[in-house]
Amino acid sequence: MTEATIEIRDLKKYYPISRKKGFSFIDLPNIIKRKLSESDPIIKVLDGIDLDIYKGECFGIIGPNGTGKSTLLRLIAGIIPPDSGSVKITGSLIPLLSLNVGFSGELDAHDNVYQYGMILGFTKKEMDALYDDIIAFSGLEKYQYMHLKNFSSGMRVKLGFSTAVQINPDILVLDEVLSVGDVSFKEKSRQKILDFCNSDKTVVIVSHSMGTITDICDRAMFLNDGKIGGIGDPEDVIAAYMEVMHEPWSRNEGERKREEAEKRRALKRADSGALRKCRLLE
Amino acid sequence: MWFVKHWDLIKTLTINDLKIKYQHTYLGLVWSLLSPLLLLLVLYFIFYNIRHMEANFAQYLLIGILTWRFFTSATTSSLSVIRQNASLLSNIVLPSEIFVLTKNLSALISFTLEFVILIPLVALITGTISPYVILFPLIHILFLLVTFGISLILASFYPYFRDLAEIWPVIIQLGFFLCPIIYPVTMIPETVRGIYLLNPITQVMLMYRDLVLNSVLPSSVSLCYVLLFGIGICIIGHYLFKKLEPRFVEVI
Repeated sequence: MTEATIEIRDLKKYYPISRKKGFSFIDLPNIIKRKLSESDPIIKVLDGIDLDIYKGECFGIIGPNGTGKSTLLRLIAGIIPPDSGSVKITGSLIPLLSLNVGFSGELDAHDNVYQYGMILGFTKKEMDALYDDIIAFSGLEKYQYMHLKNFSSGMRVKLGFSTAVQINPDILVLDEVLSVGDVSFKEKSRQKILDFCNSDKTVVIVSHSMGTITDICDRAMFLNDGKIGGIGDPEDVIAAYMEVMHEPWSRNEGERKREEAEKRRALKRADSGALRKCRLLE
Repeated sequence: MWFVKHWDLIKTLTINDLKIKYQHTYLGLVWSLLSPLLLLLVLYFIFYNIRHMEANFAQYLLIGILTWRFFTSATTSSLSVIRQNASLLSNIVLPSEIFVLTKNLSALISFTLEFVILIPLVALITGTISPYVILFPLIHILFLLVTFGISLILASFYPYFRDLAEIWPVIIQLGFFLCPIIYPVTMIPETVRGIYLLNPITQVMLMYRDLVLNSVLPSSVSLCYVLLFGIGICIIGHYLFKKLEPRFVEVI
């Protein structure tokens, strides 16, 4: 864990608050040079991030909505260019930011799996070899030749996830894709992600599920208003995050929630009993 | 090169594009043949009076129609291709030219199919066909270069300049009359004919007609001209595309 596979130096990303309508040819050189004129009001989505992520590490990113978590992932993946600063990547990287992109409702599952697989970088030959595994993993054998537009959203995501986990990059960038599908599939997909984390691959993951972060991450970062709000042991970082968000947090959070739910259910049962009595009287 | 590296993906996307286009119509790919044929009928009877200006007016019209159809469908579908694939491009790192090339290739496949079926078919009715016609793939390739270059320029501007979606169809309309589709080149006054012939699509039409109707090989001057134009426009298109591509995700 000494070799940094992702090196981020003083990374900044700004977005203009209101985008000008279309563009004018006078602006074109500025667009090309990636300059925002100074008069434009901007939001500093990321404002000077310095970060090293090491080989074999599973790194979690948390933070409130709109603090630039996804933007950071996109910058790491090279989907968007930074406004200043640099991101240096060593090794191959595949981002999984959303699961059913590249799917077309007008095609059947078979064609979509092939198309998505090739978008992720597989050749036709590799897909021929992988196809049976993918369908078996998704558990959608029956629906192979059904058009995707007739799939439920859960089924779509399952199909996407099953295809996506076949990839084998050095660095995997994930955005909230863990909680996919029904109970049994969720467990399968969790296991897959854990396998990735336990191998020598580098995993960067954004999640709102604190349980996920504590379970699988070696290190975590809390992003607040485009700056690093805390970095280090997942438990400590989550605690810092919760303090900022004014939310209570304890390791026994799950336990407490379950008790509350139990109480609620008990109350409900009592209520419905009363109702039934009502109807009998009538 | 990006298109070698992603060849499997390009092939798959092209086939899927054709599948999506035709699978929900009863006649499927037959429409690709039927619609130019119907247009041919319409134009043939509207311009019935000038049919004697060309030896084989029906075939003459057909070549013009097919050529223009390819140009129109390839450029129009490429225009908005970045926007169509917006969600994909904001989640995956791919050279976005792939999508432009895919649209061009699927249009080329339709065009080729139309060409190899309709030209002999009309020849059956109207008379002989020149053996030189088998050289058509050569011109197809030159034509694809021109179309791909123009598509790249359109596709790279569109995310920044949406008005293009309204402007381009008008230019296409204008182009229909600026190319020798429904009239012979001799109708253009001598004084401006030199400029008129600079249009590479006009040159392409004349070359197809040389092959099919006149049994003449296209002159090396026009071949070179179209080739150089095609390469030139592809280089310009590629340059612009690469310059404008990094911000696509943010502006679409």
